[in-house]
Amino acid sequence: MREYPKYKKLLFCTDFSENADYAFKFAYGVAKRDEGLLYILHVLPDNPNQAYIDGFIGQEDLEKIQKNIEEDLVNNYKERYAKKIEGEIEFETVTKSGRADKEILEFAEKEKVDLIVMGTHGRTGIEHVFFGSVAEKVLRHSPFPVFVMPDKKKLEQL
Amino acid sequence: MIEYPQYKKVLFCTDFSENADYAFDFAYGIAKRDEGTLYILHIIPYNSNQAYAESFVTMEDLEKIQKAVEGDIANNYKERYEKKIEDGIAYEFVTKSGREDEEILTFAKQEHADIIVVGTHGKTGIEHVFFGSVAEKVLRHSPFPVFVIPDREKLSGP
Repeated sequence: MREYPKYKKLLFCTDFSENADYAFKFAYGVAKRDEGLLYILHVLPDNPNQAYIDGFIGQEDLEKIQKNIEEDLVNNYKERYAKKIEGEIEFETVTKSGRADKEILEFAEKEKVDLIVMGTHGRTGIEHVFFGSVAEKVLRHSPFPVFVMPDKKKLEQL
Repeated sequence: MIEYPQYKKVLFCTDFSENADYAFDFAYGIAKRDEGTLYILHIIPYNSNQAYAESFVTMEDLEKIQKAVEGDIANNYKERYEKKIEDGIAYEFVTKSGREDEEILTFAKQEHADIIVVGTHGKTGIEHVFFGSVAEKVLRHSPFPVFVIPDREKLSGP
């Protein structure tokens, strides 16, 4: 008799796009159904020009920027996710910075998650064309099942 | 309140690899849990040398080959999947031939699948390196959620 595997640790990855929010519903649904722990992970993209910027901005301004980013994050976590699920399931918000695919997999391996949930993301640009989306890169190396939610618009177009 | 989406039409794609068989458990589990229909789809890969082969093989032999391929597929369906499916679960075997990613998406759109379940597959070779696996190609264009199951060995590894 085959049973549906239960997911006790879910990793939901978000770039705070509409598509990610759409995928969130699924991640939340699974966590609720399986009474699992939901990690909500956002990766701050590494800015390759950071080192240059540092030379032109005063320490004070840098701290202001940093503070703004953090406030933004807290607000995003709260409005988009926490508000909707508080009291319903166990969850944890996690912020990392670096290359999204690398950070996602590192975290997944560290926590030994049962499932990764993400949207296909809305990114385009040269990097996307040649190397694929974050989702593609994640699933190329992931030892865990990956649930990928497409853009809602794609479905509506059918 | 966010509800867990139910999957009434589950499209499972198989190349009869071990990885696909592992992914089957997930697909089957979803269909069972949500009382949906499970489509089991196999694509006979298009062989670009087909036209050449045809001029060297007699019609009679070609028919024999065709029959052997069909017998093989029927046997695979039965041994790998049909035996494991419990009574009361709706399922259907579908065989297509052509480019795997194209055929999978065409079928998914035609049937309005709710979810596509694939393994990351064990294929290598030039095409894979440059354009990604079948799974990657499917999720690049899929309007439906794609559930990608990695190799079991990757999971049980260190």
